[in-house]
Amino acid sequence: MHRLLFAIDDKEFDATKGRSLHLVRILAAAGYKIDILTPSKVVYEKATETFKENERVHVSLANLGVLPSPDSFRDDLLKTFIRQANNLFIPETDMKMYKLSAFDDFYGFILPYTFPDIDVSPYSIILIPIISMENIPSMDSDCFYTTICFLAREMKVPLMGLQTQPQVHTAFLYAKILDYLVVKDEWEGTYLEQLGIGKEKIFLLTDETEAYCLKSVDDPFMNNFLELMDQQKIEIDKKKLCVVVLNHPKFRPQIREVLSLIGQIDVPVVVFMVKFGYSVQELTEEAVIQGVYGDVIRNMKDNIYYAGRDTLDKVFLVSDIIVSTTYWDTLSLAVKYNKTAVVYNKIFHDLDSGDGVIFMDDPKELKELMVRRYNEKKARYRCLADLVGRLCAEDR
Amino acid sequence: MGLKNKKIAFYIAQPHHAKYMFPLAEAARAKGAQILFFTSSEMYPFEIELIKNNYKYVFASDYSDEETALKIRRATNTFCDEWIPLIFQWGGIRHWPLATQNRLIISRIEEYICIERMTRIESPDMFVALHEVNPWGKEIGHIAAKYGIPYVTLQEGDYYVDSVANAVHTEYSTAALLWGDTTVQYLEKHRCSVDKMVTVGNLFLDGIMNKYSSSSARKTIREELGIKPGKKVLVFLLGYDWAWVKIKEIWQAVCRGLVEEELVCIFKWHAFVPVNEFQKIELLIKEIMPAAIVLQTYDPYKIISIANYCVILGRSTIALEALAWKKPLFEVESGQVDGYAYGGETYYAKGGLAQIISPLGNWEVLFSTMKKGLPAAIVENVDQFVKQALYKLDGRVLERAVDVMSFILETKDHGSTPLTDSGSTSPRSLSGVERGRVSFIIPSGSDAEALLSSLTSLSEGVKFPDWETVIVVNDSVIKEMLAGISGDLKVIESEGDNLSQLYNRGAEASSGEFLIFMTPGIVYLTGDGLIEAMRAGVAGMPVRNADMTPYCLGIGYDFNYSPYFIKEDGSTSLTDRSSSLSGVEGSKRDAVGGGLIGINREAFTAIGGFDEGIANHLIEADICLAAKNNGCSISYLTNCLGVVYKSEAAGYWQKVKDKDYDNEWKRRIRFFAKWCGKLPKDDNIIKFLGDWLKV
Repeated sequence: MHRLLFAIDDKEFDATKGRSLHLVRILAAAGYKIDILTPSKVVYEKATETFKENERVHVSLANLGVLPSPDSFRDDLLKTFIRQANNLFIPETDMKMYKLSAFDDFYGFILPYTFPDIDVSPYSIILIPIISMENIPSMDSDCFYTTICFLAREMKVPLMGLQTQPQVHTAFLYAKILDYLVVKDEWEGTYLEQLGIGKEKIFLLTDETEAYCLKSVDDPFMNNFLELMDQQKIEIDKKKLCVVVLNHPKFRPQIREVLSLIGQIDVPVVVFMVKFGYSVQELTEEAVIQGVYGDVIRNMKDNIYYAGRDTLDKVFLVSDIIVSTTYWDTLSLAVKYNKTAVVYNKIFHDLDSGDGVIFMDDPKELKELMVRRYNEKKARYRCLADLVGRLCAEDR
Repeated sequence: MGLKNKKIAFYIAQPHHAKYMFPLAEAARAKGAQILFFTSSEMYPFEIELIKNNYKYVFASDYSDEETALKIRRATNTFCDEWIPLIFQWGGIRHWPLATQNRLIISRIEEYICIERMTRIESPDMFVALHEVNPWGKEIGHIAAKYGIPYVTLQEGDYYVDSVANAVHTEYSTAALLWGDTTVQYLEKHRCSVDKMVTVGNLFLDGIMNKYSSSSARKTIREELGIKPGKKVLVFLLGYDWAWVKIKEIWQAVCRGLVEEELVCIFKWHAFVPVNEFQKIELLIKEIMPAAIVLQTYDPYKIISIANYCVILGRSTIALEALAWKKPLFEVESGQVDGYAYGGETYYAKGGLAQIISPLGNWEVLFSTMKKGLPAAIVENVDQFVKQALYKLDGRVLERAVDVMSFILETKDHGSTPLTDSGSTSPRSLSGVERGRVSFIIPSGSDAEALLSSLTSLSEGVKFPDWETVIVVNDSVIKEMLAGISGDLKVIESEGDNLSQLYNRGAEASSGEFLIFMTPGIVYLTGDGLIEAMRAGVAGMPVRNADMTPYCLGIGYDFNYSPYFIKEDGSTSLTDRSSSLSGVEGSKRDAVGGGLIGINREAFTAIGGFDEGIANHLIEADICLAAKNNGCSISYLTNCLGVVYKSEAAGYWQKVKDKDYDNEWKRRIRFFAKWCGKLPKDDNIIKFLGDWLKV
């Protein structure tokens, strides 16, 4: 089993409201053993609480040491700095960089902090936040990440940076040092390339929930969804096409047709059936579903899940396509989250809600739409576990 | 005249930079200069003092355009590619963590590129910055050198930490304006160029003492601080290290014995402590001594002006300033309170400038001083110390500084034309020259033995078919002695010890096509090939000590652009490494001399002779630069030899001390102003600092 180290301090942890732990959970679920190392007691306590029942995740505190740094020690470092950097120039000039950096910037910011107990040798990959210059780490924290980077280099352990702030804020030197940079938006990857970061180092996370874990803003819908995932109430194969079907008490023929069409397309599919929440006379909704769509559903084997109406605001986020037989505001919201939202019902086929929801009643068209969406997803889908898996495989 | 209509660019950074810059800028403006304040966009708002003082200013980054932005991006990327392999091979650099590196290094690249662009657009006539040790000082210095713009730097504080960083104070400066001889000696010890230093005094203190010393000013300050009449004021001045002390037991010990006294205690905290930290400490002090006044941003000079007694905790420039104000100073010896160590090495007490408080809380020595006054020995020591450290507090510091700036610009405007004693620049006459004749020109000096050794060596060693000796007598005793010497000597009289003047008078009286200038005490041994070399311009040769160790193997330029006598075999020219005259490595020099230098008369005349406005020890370098400027070559003849029979017998190379002190700087600074942007430089700091860079 590959071991991964996730090193993080409080500022970067807080930047994404602690959502980086969700990524740890995903990687643990993917079969990796992960050690979380932090100099922050707060992060330590939160992570320990989060993973108290997860045998694959271990949390530990990095011990801060303080070296005495008398003037003579600093002066010795300064002398070495000058000797080491004597032949480095500001490119395209004859200005030696040590002249600008050594005497004030270096000498004035020699920090006494050390982290003597860190050992990175057991790890296949080290994950650390990409440092932001708009949310610059504290001095001791800067030393923590620096120690990790130096040790990683020494032990030849790949460093994988996880975005915590927009990439325009990225500490460029860090970006150059990291072996891989995981970003959440395509434009940010392009920006890093423009700065001179090799394309091969940039990894765009297209998995929406994982990408959300790299964002520094809160989204209540995504938070709700993450909560569901962290409680392991939703565990689906994200590489399959996920179709959320909203049940309806009246438009049963349309629902049946939708489920049949899903069964006919030749791509891996997982279906979330969201119940309407009704009963009629002696029949429960479950009984109607089984009675009316049972044969179609049985053909889907293990690839169908059920969700209550009250979870719709969370469940729609797992979908690639959400299909309903009537219009709901949730469909409009889903479009905003890059979902394909469809009202499949001839009653509404000529309606245009102006918000991107597609109204249709043609079975062929719906099938083509689902296949197209799957192919798009297949072409674009990238999740952290894939990258880690690839690197571990290369390492092996 | 020197500053009128000149554009002078002042770099403004921290408030403690601005306090020196603003008075100087105003003084320059009063002389007709056009002032351009510029700064950088740093985390600390450097512009804040400019705004407070209603000055117009620019950011260097204002000059950035699309091309600049692309250059910055390109340079940053390339630099990081070179930097990263370097840092990962040196574990020590992890003490300079990566985000900090990122912030600082990238800022420097951006600033450098932007300041260079600003320079191209604004074309300032002069740059002024606080000093060269900080990155901005170096950025400006390098760009100033590149564009041939004079660069004046100042002194930030009382330098007292021995560090290799002090070695770079005069690298690019045309002139470094310093507070006093203490700093000159200190920086000289750190291998800075004494030639570039001018002692003017403290630009700020001079004025502020005047401003706050009147009884009305002091009365106002006491009222501002709520100090009742009749109360004595004890001021605690905190150095940087003490400013971080938060141990209550230590401060309780400090205050012990003072609470009951009729003293008002003022604690002046170091400005570099973040305000939130200061507020915590303020509460702590107030808890121990409720009547104490604890200040951080209040003008420290106002506080000193009303102080009756000062206690320095640690080491800080402000102690020197308190001494300048003649305030009785007390210093705390290191010790322990309840197991907590405090303090460090005493400095002011060791120098006999302060009385020691030991242990903390034992204020007997203060109370004794309150009753009996300061011991006389301390008063005398302080007088001497302040004079050494602060030159003159005579209200004319700014005037002296502006004079230097003005002199530099006048010199630069004058170009490379040499000064003569009459102030004219007329070339020497070519009439009466004997083709092929070599004239040896020797100032007499005042050491007969030295002079005779040179004369004897000529009679024994010169192989030229036609030669003469011209002695320029500037000493009455030697004059009498020469009257008794027979032989074919041409003796002329002159005065003073200005070597250029003496050489020029000798050249005027000589008749040779070729002129060889020698200082007395140099023994001429062999001169093969000298005439051929002089025909092409300037010629020199190795000059060795009597034991054959090198004395001057040509003249090189060091890290500070300062000329020096080369002592190592195998050295070569900094500006022309492409080929050597003889094809032998080490035979090229940027300048030659060491008390023996030859030139053909035509070249000498075209140059205008030796520059009489230049200090003796710089004239050989100067004439070589002038000759090169006129298209002549500089030849270093390794097969020839001169020997120092009596080292510096005439004292011509000695720096002027106690002699016309107030003006001697002009003869040194003239060299750097005249050749601003044209001087060679050995940029190899490893060679320059040598063993000093060993850990």
